[in-house]
Amino acid sequence: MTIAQRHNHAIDLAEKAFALASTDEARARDLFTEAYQIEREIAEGIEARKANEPSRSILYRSAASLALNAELYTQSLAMASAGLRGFPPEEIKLEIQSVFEQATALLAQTAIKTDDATAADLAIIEDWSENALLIEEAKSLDRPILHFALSDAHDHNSISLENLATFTDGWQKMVTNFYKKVYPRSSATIEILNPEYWTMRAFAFTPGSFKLHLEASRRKGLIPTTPLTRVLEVLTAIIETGQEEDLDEELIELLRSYKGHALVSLRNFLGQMVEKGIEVKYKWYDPANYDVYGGRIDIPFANRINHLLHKQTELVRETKTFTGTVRGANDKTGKWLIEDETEGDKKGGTEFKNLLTGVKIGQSYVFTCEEIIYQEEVTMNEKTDLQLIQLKPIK
Amino acid sequence: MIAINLEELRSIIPDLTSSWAGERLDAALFCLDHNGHSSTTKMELTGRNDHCNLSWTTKIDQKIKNTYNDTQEATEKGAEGMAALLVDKLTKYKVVRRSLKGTGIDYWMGHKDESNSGLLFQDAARLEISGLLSGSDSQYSTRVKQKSLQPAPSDNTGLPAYVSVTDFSKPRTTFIKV
Repeated sequence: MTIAQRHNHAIDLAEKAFALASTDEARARDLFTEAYQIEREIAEGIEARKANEPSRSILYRSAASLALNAELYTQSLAMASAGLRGFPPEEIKLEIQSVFEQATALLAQTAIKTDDATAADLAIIEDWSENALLIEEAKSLDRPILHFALSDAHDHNSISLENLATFTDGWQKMVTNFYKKVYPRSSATIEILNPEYWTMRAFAFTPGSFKLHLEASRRKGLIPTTPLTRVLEVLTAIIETGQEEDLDEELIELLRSYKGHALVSLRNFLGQMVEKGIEVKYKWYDPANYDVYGGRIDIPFANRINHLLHKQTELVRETKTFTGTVRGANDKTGKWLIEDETEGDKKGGTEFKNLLTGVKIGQSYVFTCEEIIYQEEVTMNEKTDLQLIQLKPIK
Repeated sequence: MIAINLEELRSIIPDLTSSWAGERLDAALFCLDHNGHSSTTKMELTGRNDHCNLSWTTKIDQKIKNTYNDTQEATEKGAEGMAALLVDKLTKYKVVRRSLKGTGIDYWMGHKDESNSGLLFQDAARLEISGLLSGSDSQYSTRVKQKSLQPAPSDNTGLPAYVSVTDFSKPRTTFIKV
């Protein structure tokens, strides 16, 4: 059967169901269910692209309404939510929202009547409602939106100012450092290195649960995709891989691509979570990606990954090269100073002091160093130490 | 003057089932008969300064009257039938698609020469239908206003829509693009 024939069959079933609704409720519900399943299959086969509207959202609206009539409220919410994730025209969007609200209210009533289903059903309502809000915000602001929730042992509705500052700062540092690894200076365009792509601003919060609504300062400009989204994808991939203890090898392999500052900031963030007993949840939606993604970092997880990052010291070290004129080199102390052509003065030491023997001041060299990142004990500020491991003169 | 043979309903909607067309035809005939109208009745096209000449040959027997004992259902289905006929006479579209909207069916029109194999609702226009079995002037104009109030399109994705409101008592129909 063609799509049109399947769709017409679904609506014929719905018409029969409406006719039976007052005389044979059970049969009517079965027909609505059958029609819903057909309509859902058709809708799910259509990609969420502007070119596929309004067909996609009309079919999802139809599937959501059929599920509602079949008293399948969670399925109705799922269909409505999926319809909103595309690009529904304004009038269809309003109709989908109306179905969403009806399904939410009916699900809540069902949950109240059925004690054993209450917690699960209410959790579903909260989840879908939050998704709907997230999608709405992202579309109206035309940029990725992140909902960032913190909770401590005290409650899920408030957070101390000190912890709020620590964790929002830690999150931004982590995003910044991962961004710089995803888009390294050497290969990125000047446009993508604009800090507005990775700096985030808080513009709202969800009352009742401590959830900050964050937006990227800039969406895409000259860039065809949303740069921040790529970073959030990487962080989520790390968190998802890390959830499985037997995937440590895969996790370490994944982490190797982000060696250095990014992993140090991740380690610090997880360390603070363990120390202060804070759990983190986040969800994000990018209007260009059509789906809600997210993750939850609980304390046992933070503890395990934090230990792993402390144990795998190679992950917090990075190899860096500097090219320029040597300004100082002492083969007795191992200290050196080079004026890099792009990054300016760089200084460090080396365990291999003989490398510095014969180095001519004022001559050009390539210094290959290991960058070791550590935290100062008192200020907790991040510091780096450069250890020379190889050098080559430039002829 | 536009001549409309109500029995044409059976042939102008090839994309929907024959029972869909048959039910709407019977319902429209029932509503007209209920108001004392017989074949070759003149129907005013309000807002167009025109009228239609409605004709049919089907005998409105007791079976039809029994079937449409629920006059609300008869009015809804009859108005859908009248709307489909007017779409055929007054536009380049045909009624081809339905989808479920809340607790009712939403009707869509597609181009007459278009194949039905691709995405279902691309380039489709929405058809808002309403009917009155026996409406006063104020009820009729209120219904037309209600149906004409479409949400203002926020951008170029706004959907084209037609409104068809039939009052079987006069009889009269408003058929407009909004």
